[in-house]
Amino acid sequence: MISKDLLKGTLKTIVLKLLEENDRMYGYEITREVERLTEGKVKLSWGALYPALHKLESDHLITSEEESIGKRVRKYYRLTESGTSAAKEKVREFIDFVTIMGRVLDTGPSLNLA
Amino acid sequence: MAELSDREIEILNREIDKQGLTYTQLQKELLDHLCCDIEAKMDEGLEFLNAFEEVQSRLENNRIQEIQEETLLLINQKYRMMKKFMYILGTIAPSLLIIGAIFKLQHWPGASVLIVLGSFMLAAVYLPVFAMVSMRDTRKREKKVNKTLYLAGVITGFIFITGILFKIMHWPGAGVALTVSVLLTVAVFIPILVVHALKDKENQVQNFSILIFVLSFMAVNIMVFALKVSKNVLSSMVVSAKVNIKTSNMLESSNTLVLKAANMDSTLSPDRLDQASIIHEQTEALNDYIQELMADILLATHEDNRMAIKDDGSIDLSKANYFDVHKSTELVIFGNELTSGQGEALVKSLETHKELLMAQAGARLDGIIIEMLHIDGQYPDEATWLTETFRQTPMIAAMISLTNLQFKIQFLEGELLKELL
Repeated sequence: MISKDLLKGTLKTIVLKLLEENDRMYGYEITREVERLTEGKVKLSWGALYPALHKLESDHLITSEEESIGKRVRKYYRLTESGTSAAKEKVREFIDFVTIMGRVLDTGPSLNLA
Repeated sequence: MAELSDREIEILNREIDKQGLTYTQLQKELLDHLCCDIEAKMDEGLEFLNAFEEVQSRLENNRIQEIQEETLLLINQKYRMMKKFMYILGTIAPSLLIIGAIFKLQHWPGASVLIVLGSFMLAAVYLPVFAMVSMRDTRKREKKVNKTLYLAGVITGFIFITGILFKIMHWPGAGVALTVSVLLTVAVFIPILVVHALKDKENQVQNFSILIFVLSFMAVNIMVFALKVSKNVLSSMVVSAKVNIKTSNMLESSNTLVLKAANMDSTLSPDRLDQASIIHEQTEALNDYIQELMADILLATHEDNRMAIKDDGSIDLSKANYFDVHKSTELVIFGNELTSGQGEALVKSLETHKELLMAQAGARLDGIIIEMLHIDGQYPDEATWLTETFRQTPMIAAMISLTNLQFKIQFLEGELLKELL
């Protein structure tokens, strides 16, 4: 399991990246997708996910649309234009960060991002 | 894939409802999330109640409340900063203005800087930030924001404050800005405000008082326009014009006496006597011409001012009125589409008179003549002496300039007579 502290700073990056690849997603779908991609190593709690989603929406990086499914409402999120460029920017920033941290900690990360 | 029945969803909804969330957007989302989770567990073979038990811990200990708090904290970050900024500015800007006003009253240096800074903060920073915060507040109460109202308000307010600032600083364009702001208020802001107030049933008292405030503010604004020049300044200007008239009358009679005495004196050369009487006649002619001009301006100002013109053509300003009117001076001096102005003719006579005096005067008087009958503008590139003296000036200021001219030509005649005789 990855610790919460480590995840906190990258949560937005993860959400933006997922939305860039998946057109539109709802909250539960995002947690499932993260779990699938990390083989269960990263579990997003809803307490972390929803504040982040709403923050991204208020910053106009993502927009939302609601769909009624029977008695419940599902809220889908998708990237805005500025969100698309922010996603690219954030991912690049994060790769830089990991590369630099790899050098600092000198563990020779088994990362092959390039 | 399992799908929850309406009844099961209702149970979950009630559970979340118990947490007392106020941010309904979030509540709906959390319900869907919970449903999905339970459905997934049911797919693994659990019954609804067992699945619910497994996720129930997430609803305990106010956890959901905490999520809401964190969400609101995050999305309101900018708003809270803006609000703080607004409060700080709202304190600083008026303080600067008040301190600036005190400095201005005491004629201490730095008043202008304070006033300009305070007005700039108020118009260009506080006003837009206030509109943004207020719009956000309205939106938060789930009400529609009347963007046009805010936009019109901010633009009108900005132009109005700028106009006031320019007026205080005596910068050009103040009149235009104030006129535009009044027009915008009447033609744009008030109609939008009225329509808005009629639609908005909830805040009727608030909207009504804003409307009353704007209307009375406008009335004050228009009154300020009408006043233009304060009464004290006007009456002191009248005194100074009267003094000019009195002194030039005294000079005139003394000049006449000097010339009369010289005529009796047989030792003087007839040549010099001729020159002296030519100068005297010319001065009288110019003096009368200026007097007629003053009478024209007085009459153009108001028909009642006929009282101020005596039978012999001389002028008694204590019987005149309407001293702060601008248009009459401009009409007489510069004319309009129908009549031509007399300003050019005045300049021409003054120049002829100057040449005549210079031809007779010795070196001692030359300098004084040039200085006294100086009719070039102070800033020759921008304005002529005429526009500088008579454009945009109240009637009494024109009276002062003209009586001052009379005084000067009488004085110069006296000096020249001394030299000649």
